[in-house]
Amino acid sequence: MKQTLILLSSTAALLLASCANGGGSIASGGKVKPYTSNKCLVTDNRLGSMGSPVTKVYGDQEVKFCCKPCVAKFEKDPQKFLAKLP
Amino acid sequence: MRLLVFLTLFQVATAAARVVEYDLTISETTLSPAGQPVRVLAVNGSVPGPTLRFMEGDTAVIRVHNALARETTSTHWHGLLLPNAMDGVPFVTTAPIKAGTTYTFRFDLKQSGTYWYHSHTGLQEQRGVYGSIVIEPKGGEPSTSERDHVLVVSDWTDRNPKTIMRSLMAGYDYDAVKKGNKQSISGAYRAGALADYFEREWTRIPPMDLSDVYYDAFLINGQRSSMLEGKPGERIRLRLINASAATYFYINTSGGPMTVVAADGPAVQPVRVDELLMGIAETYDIIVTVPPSGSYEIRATAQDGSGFASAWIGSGSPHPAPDIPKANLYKMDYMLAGAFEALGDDPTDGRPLPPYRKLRSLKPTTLPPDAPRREISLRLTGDMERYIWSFNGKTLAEDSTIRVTKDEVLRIELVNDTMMHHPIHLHGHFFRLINGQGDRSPLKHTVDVPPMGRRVIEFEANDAGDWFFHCHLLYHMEAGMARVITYNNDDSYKPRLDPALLDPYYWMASGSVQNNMTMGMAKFMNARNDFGVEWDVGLGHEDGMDDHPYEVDATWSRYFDPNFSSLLGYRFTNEEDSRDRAFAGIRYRLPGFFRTTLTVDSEGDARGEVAKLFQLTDRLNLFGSLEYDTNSRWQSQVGLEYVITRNLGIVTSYDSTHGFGGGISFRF
Repeated sequence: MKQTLILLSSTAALLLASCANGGGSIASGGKVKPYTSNKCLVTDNRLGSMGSPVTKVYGDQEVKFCCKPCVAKFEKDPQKFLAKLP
Repeated sequence: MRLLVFLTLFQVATAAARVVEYDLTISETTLSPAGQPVRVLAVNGSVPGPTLRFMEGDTAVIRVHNALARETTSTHWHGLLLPNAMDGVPFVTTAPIKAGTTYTFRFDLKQSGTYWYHSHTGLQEQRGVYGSIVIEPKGGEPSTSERDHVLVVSDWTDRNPKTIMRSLMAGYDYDAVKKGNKQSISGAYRAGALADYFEREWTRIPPMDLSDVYYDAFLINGQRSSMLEGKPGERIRLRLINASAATYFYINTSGGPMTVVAADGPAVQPVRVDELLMGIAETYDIIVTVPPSGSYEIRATAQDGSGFASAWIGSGSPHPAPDIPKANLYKMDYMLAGAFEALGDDPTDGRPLPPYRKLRSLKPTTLPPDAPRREISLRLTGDMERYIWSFNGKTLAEDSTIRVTKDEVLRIELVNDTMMHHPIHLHGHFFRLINGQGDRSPLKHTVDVPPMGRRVIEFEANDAGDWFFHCHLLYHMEAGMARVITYNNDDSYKPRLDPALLDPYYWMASGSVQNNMTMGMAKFMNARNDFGVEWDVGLGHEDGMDDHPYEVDATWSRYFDPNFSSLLGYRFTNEEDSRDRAFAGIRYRLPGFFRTTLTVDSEGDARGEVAKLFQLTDRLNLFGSLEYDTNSRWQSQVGLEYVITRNLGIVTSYDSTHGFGGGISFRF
């Protein structure tokens, strides 16, 4: 039974770790305004619809994207997209 | 079966309106669309069926005879505005036409342009039940031409489309191998995209492709290549109809730019384009000029680059149309071209998008300003893992209706959350495509929504009834990407639906037989459930075992999302120190497509397994798994499989219980 519990808890930890951050990078430091929408800031598609979302921080604002090409699109004209934030 | 061919047309000219009559007979016969004789479903003995020609204001009387042995059939008049009962969608609007019976359609033609008809029963359209409709406008065409040709562009497979659907549900990816589009580590290396490949895997995005199905041939009017009549200098109107089941086409010519003069029937202000992407079920009228000398090609290239069909005009030395470059499927950027176009980008990689931004109606198309207005968002959702296609995450079986109120204007924002194009078709109405042309927004019946892109459409709810609204990629519709737009606002009202579309079950089996062991699975599955058997049986004589050790699991798996499923089952085993037992657990897909399974059982034991497949080349894969069971301890397996045909491969593996072995693998 002890082994069963160890196996269950290790697997649970692994699953939680895989869910914790969708693979994006987060710049830390200072207070960051969280990104509250469940949609990509560039395309408005649901986060997670194209694999794990990508998370970035610009200044003090966290931003989430559905995929990496959207990051490049955003960085060409950040103000245009940041203006969409509430 | 004797080919039944009879088409009669007689016109009764009266002072008011003509009555134009056709007989269409749907029968099974043998033709060779791709070169080899194959059983097809033909209309009046041919694929495609005949062109039905009318004048605006005519009354159409079309008798559809079902000459099939057992199957029901139907005919939908794609793009026509007609009484609800004449729309031809079985169960939803019109009774299925039973074998050996005739149904007579009768409706007035309120419009002009290029349209088409097709079966709306099961996957019959893929087997050949389609044809074209031409309706001349009362006052003559606004863009004149000396000659007129209908070009019905289609995709053809010699396989049974029901088998194709089953393969798609099972996730067998042999079609990508046949098309040269299978993604692999070596392919990514050659494409200079190894980092993209592993990043895609890490973020759990399935391999991308532009089409799901390998086709044996692409056809224009039933031929891979054909000649069109035309004299030098003549302006020719080409009425292009994409009647394919699952293929978008790039249209280009060697004779220079084409002039688009109509889209989905209605005329538009003429616009010149070098090439265009044509969605499934759309129509375009284009005008080209026959060159003074030489033969020029009009080419329809499958979007995935797997082939093309040609029509030639003029005579003399041939001038082929330029090749459309094949997409680099390892890069996501191309897939997002349509989404980024809406944000102001222009595609620059030689592969065109639909010409929507340039389409401008000849007349204002604004809807009544005092009509009540409502807006909804509809997300186009899908899951390549099990080939579930849906709206807002729900299949037709799970949510069948969108309700409208008579005389309101409904605006629909279509947001594509998937990596595939979806041609969305509304029955019985034209919608305005909001494309930046203001009051001249074009009227359409089908719109392409590109991967991760969006379109906005609006229409006036002016024709009461139940109208089908769906993705016109045939296999997506079959998998559930459909709704019924109903004018009935009683919440308890449910439209009639074809039972065959309501989450059907498919069977499949795969595994291997090697000299030391056999393992595999066989199951019935629908969108969310698997009922199956998994086995792992030793065929050799392991040390200390008198009998062949086996584990056979009977399981029910409930699918929640691409990453997560639950599992309930019963295990039969004769392995040492083991007893039969019930078990429950979960399956979870980790980043990198590592597939994990965790179960606990009625004997108090737990088991964890992680498995991974590396696609080394388009046909060779390396697979492995590691398992820990609190009763039977560690077990592992590693092997190589080379896929030879759609159903068979060769495999060699090392299994910690059964040792080294080799044999065949199978998928059905």
